Amino acid sequence: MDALGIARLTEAQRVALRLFMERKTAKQIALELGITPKAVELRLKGAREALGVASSAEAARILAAAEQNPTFRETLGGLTEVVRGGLSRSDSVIESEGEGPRQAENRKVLSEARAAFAHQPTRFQPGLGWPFPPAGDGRNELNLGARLLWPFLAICGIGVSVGTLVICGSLLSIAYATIYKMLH
Amino acid sequence: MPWYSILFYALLFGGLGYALIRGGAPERLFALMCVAGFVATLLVETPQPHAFRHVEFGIFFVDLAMFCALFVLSVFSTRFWPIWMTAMQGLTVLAHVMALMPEPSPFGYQAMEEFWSYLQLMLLIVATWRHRQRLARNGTDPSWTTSFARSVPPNRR
Repeated sequence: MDALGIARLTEAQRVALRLFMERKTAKQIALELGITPKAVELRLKGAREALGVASSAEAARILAAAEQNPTFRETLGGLTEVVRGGLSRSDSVIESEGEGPRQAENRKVLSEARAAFAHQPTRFQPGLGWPFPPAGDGRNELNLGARLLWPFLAICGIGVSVGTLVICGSLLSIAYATIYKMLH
Repeated sequence: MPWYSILFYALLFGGLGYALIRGGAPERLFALMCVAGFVATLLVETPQPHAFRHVEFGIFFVDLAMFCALFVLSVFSTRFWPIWMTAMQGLTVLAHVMALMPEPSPFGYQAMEEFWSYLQLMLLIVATWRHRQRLARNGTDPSWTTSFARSVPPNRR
């Protein structure tokens, strides 16, 4: 999960994403907020760019997942303040410019938010899930059963794929040799 | 030295060095497993030209031990790559079945046994690179899950 990306979202973008999560169209969101559909599209586009994802549905899902997490919700305010204050710059930049009391305070908030984010409890997925990282910084949240099962399913999958490739390759080479003999 | 051996050693030393220096806990742990596995294989392998003419039990047990260790890693890690690494190690273990075939080919047996290590080392490099990317973006990258006590669907809590 991209903590800083979520913190970068403006409140207007978050509202648009929450409504998008309710399966509302840009037109419906525009009606509800009293703005034009074009403005809704712009907010969704801004949100997609902030989170670095291609679809609004993915952006809405990331925000919803973050907002459901109590630890993350508690620290989001502080983190957002830091990012809005233009302090998403790296620590080395802050150091090179000299550290004032505001920078020190912001750095403390950012460091606490990062630490809290790092220690958030894992939300294990129900069901089997897929053994691929989702968009963003997706952690492996497969449950115990899925973790025990997937290596063996992957062995079968890779084994069958490689076996099929070998058989196809052999058949192709036999066909090539036969055709070559017929022609010469 | 054939080209594939040069590629293997480049991947081995480059990949393991990168993972040990720049990787997170799971990447470093796997790199250490690889070092141990590599050294153990050198100690137990049958000297040429008799290698891979029958089941290489020494290498089989080293592969099996690495499979078990990787399986534990894939259960406890917050990464996805150990799942695939475990699957590839499982296929390495299964490659020893080739020695039991009616007309075993030492070259085929050795190739099947070593093929997956190339992909595993490439995957380790990608995994370490992704870890660095997350670290640069978020300032932190958790290594392990805390407990499976919470292993219930979020909507049932």
